Formats: sequence, structure tokens, C-alpha cells
Amino acid sequence: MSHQNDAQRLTQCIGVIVRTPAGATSAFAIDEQDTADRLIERAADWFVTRDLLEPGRALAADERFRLGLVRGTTIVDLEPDAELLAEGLVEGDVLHLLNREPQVDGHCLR
Amino acid sequence: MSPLVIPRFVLEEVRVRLEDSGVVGVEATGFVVAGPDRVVRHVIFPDQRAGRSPDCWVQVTEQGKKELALALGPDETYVARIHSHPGCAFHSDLDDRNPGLRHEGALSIVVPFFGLGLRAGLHVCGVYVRRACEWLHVRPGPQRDEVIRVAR
Repeated sequence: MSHQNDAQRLTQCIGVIVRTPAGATSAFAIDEQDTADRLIERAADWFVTRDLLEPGRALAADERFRLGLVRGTTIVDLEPDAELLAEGLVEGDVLHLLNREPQVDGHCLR
Repeated sequence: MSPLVIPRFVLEEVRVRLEDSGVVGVEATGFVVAGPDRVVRHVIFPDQRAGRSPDCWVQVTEQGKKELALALGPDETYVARIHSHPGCAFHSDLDDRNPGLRHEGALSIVVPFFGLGLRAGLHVCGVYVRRACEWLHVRPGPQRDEVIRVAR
């Protein structure tokens, strides 16, 4: 049972930016209970509702995407069960939904 | 949604890049970046690998996916993807299944003859628009002018 009141929880909440593979952007609040897969699910649902992302047909959001954290000029992959605050995320951090599925185009030469 | 506007110099840069891959017989793929005004700023060609067996294919690598994410400015989005075919310009089944850029209103441009088609212009390319989770072919003419046009 939590002994925190809302004010205490609010101070432990931070705001981060999540972007879709196409670059659509929104801010999300995360707290100490949030893991990467939970944020993926929440963000994907938000973007799908606004036609900024297509719904997955057979795959759940965390099967379609992984979460990448921008650190300088690189992106750090976050494991699905990574606890976001424990990973050192800070206010204003930018995270990207990255496709897990192969991105292949192709054409028969014959 | 207003039409996507592509400056001619961007198409020229794309043509050169696609032909560079075409001379060794492989396809290439790029992602078209625009600002809120839907004017194309540039095209990103992420890390990719391509082959000719059993048929021509090109794949954005995991590193390439990260490069795409890092290449966007705060007010920029990917509005289209553009890739070459060895022959005619159409969407193959594999192209349809590519999850690289699939959101309502996204465009997909297919350039024929390993990029050489762009020497003739965008009108010889295949243009597809994403509507209700399907790629729809947009024929040259007024219908296409409503979704994409080349800046003079």
C-alpha cells in the first residue's frame, strides 16, 4: 500500500517527449512505476487515436515498437521492462518509437 | 491537407543518390522530411543494405532506423518515403507490407529504372497515398496535384 499522497507522487513525475517513427510528437508524464513497455503502449494508443499512427493488426504495441532514448548524438535502446526513472530519464528527455519489424522494399527484377 | 511541395533541387539530389545504387544494380530508399508548411526540406538516406537475390530488395538497418530518428528537427516530420525499382514504378506486396512509414496521409514514391526515371520527372514515378490503412495509387493529373507537386 502506498503511503504517498498525490502531491508527493506529482513531484516524482516528470514530463518526457515521445516521437513516432514519422516524427509526430507528444509529451507524456511518467512516474516511478512506468516501464518502457507501459509507455510504448500508452503513447501508441495516444497517437493511434489521433491518426498519427496506424493501429497494429496482429501485434501489440510493444511487439511493434521498441523505445529509444536520445542521448546526445546517439540513441540508447531501452529494454521493455526497463523502469524509466531508474534508467536516469530526466525532464524533457526525448524518446523514439522504433519499428521492431523489418523495413524492406522489394521488386521482382524479372 | 495541403499538397506536399518538393523543390526541384531535392528531386535532383534524390535522383543522383538512387542512380548511385542503380549503377551496381540495387535499389535504394530514402525518407522525405518536411516542416509544418509541408514544403520538403531534404531527404534522408539512412543506413541500408540491398541485394539482388532472389529479387531486388532494400532494407533499412537497425542503425538506419536510429539515424532516421536522430535526423529530424523538432518541427520536422517524415511525410513520404521514396525508393527505386529496377523496372516499372508500382507498389509490390513487399512495399505494401513495409512498416517504415504508415500513417494516414503518408506518401510513398516509387522511382522506375533504378532512379533514372526521375530524369523525366515525378510524373513517371508511382505515387501512393496512405488512406484507411491502405496504399492507394494516385495517377498523374489533377488527383495527384492535390497530394504532391514539384515547386517551379
